[in-house]
Amino acid sequence: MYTEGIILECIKQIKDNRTIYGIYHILAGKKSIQSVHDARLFRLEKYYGIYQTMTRESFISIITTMQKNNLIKMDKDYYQITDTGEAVLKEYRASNLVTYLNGIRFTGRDITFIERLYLLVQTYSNIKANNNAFIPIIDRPEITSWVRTFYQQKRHIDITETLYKELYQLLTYVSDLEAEFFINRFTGYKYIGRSMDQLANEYQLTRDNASILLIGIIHRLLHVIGDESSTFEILTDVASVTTNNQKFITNTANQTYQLLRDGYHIQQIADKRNLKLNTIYDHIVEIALYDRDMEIESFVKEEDQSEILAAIQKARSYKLKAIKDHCHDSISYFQIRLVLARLKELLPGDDMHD
Amino acid sequence: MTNSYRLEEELKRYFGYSTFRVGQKEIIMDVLNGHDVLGILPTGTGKSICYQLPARLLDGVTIVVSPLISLMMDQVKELKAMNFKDTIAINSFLDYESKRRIYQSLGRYKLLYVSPEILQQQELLHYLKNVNISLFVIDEAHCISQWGHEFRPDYQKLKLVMEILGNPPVLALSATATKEVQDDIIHSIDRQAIKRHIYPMDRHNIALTIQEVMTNDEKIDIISNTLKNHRVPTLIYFSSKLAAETVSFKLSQRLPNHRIAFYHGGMEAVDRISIQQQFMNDQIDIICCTSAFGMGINKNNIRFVFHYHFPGQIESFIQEIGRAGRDGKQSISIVLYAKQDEFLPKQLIENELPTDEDLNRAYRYLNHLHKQDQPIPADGNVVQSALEISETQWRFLIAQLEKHGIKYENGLKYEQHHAKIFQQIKYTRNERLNLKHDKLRDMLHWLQTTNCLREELYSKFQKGYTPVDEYCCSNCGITLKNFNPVESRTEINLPTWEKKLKRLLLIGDYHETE
Ligand SMILES: Nc1ncnc2c1ncn2[C@@H]1O[C@H](COP(=O)(O)OP(=O)(O)O)[C@@H](O)[C@H]1O
Ligand SMILES: [Zn+2]
Repeated sequence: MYTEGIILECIKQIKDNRTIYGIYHILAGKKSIQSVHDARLFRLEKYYGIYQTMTRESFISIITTMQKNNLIKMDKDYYQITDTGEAVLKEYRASNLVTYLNGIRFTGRDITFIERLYLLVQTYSNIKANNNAFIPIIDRPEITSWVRTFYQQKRHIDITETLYKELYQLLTYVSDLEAEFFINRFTGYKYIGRSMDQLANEYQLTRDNASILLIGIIHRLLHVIGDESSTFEILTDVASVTTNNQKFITNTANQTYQLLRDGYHIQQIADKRNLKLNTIYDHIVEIALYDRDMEIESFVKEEDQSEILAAIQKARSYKLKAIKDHCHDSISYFQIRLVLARLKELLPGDDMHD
Repeated sequence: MTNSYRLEEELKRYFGYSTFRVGQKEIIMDVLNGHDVLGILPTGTGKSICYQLPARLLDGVTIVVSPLISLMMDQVKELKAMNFKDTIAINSFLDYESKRRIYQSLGRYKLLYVSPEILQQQELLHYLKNVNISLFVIDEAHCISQWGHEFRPDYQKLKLVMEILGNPPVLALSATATKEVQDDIIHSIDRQAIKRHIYPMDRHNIALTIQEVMTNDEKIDIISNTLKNHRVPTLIYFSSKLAAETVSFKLSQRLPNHRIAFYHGGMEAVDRISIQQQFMNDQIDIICCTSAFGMGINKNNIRFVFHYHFPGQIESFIQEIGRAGRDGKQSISIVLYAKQDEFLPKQLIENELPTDEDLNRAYRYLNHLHKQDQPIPADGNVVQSALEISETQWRFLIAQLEKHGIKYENGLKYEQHHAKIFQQIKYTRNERLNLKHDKLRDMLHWLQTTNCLREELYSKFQKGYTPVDEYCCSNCGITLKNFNPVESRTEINLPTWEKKLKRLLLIGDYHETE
């Protein structure tokens, strides 16, 4: 019921402000400005990017099934939650998973962390058994090379025992069932971990629910590691992703940011980078979302900000077109998007979300 | 020059085997003496040794072109830190930095695996020109031939590559090549003086059976009835992902004591490796799979290979059943043949090549761009989706356009736009289509023959075969009553996550529960 619960939660928050694909983009963590933006705007941050491997087709089939099972119904082009749906939502809200997920903070890092950990455990397990020839369960070069470096740095000390203790300690932070679910996926010497389909089958979950449960557990564990980095020395290393695309989603936006800080105007940046003006606008909105320190005043004067805020209230909508219709012509879509990016700070309180 | 006594010693030293298998020594001797060699050895008999040992013994670098360079292979070799330090695989997955590092020290490697695509890169060729290449190996050499069952256009450019590299000695290897394909290989690389080492590909320890059925339910009955008394490593081949998944679930219900999983190309990489390795490690008994399963699988005790759907050509069939019984022990191939299945391979063939409609659309598209004086998008995916064609259709089209002088490099440079080119492409397409239909016809013919299946299966590839008494084929008459293969062990299922974690990291009393 996790997948359904999460989608119901999204429908509840987004209402008729976006089509159903808005939800898909949030869950799949589409690296577009719009989806991060939406996640923040509709307070669905914790769901951002929690199911990156979901295809559009499988999303559609989930929605269709939900409709067939009468969890949602179509009403004037938008989905409404039925009573049955409300019951499922209630059940979902009572699950551990709700408190575990933190997509906006951990997306991307979760996969890197877990893949490193799979390979690290496999490596130490085999080395402890004096077996140097094994087929790595993870074959992405960035993961294998990280593990190799890690191993070489620590080669004079045997960390297997410590790794065990840390993992043991860490897993006491989740339920026994969750710990077992999590550990079943691991591979060691002469023992290969379960595939996602096998796990789902053993725990009688759908594949989607199994994937989301696993991500939830990982988020919970990452949270614990972050809080107690002194307890989890090795795992803190495993969880730390140094590449800076944490802060900015895209590299290209980062380059634009650099030029902005060097004092270039938008048009100059566009010329310099040989990009369309609109692309640069996208970058700036993206930066505004991710870097709370960036001033938006140079792009939208305070009085324009107030006007846009008022328009949002009037329109009772987050649709750009609806907001624009309530503003002066001099206000651009770019400016509206910037204000939306900062809406939470500009508009404290809950008045848009009832 | 190479004395045989020492070769055995080297084999032992580097690989730990005390004797050569059929064909290996003969091929290796000719290679070491600097001859060009064509080696046709049945799957699973050890083709790799034929270049891996020479690579150890020759000065300089041995290049191996293989279409199967999976990342896995790269990593296995790398992590096998013991004796394979100087082996590396170069493929398009390597990041820029690693590539640079490797390129600048190519001479340091003994064994260099490359994909045919990457050999098209000027940069790599530039560096390769400066190293001493002792041997140029073309693995899966049938891919070079249009008549082969897995034609790869990039393979046809290998002759040019070899010229650039100063025509090093060649070793071309394949498991399935008819006489026609062998000739085509030699012609394509232009080495008329090549020494041919052709070994029979019939596998006397694999019994060949066909069971004709009316329905899919009947297939499932046969599989579960056959396997309920035998828990042994088993492959079941399907022509669709969905069927593999569905039947895997159905069989799990019918055979609750068997561990059953499915495998296909649509799965995530981690899961694919995990299923493959579980099978290798006897944690899974039965795999329901598509033809994506098998490459690089080195399990020697597969006892049954079922074909829930039969493949579109005999070559693929021989390769797939060839995964059984690599340990030399008795194994069984069972084809579950339903007349109505014939449309499946037909459909696959149709979907593989562009239709007239597709070609017309491509022609209009290119012409349109040309008239607007616009470049063709650099991103192949864009063109592919604009034309609404599948990936294989797109690859065919690209290769054909290139053949007619329309270059696809950083976007196609579309200079000629003659309708004539498209006429020729259509012609080639038809030729290819006919070829595939012919191959399918051969397959169907085999499925329906009343003669000895063994005799018929290999007749296109070789003269004669090793006769088999008891377990020949279903047409000669066969019973599985006395077939008693060794059963798989049961895996120990630990009760708690704490114990599982201990087993993973081999801590303290982890094994006490066994
Ligand atoms: N001379 C030999 N003695 C024993 N085992 C061998 C010998 N040569 C190869 N093998 C083993 O046979 C298996 C198949 O070898 P491989 O080269 O992968 O086969 P192919 O490429 O022909 O399918 C491997 O496990 C390999 O180690
Ligand atoms: Zn026979």
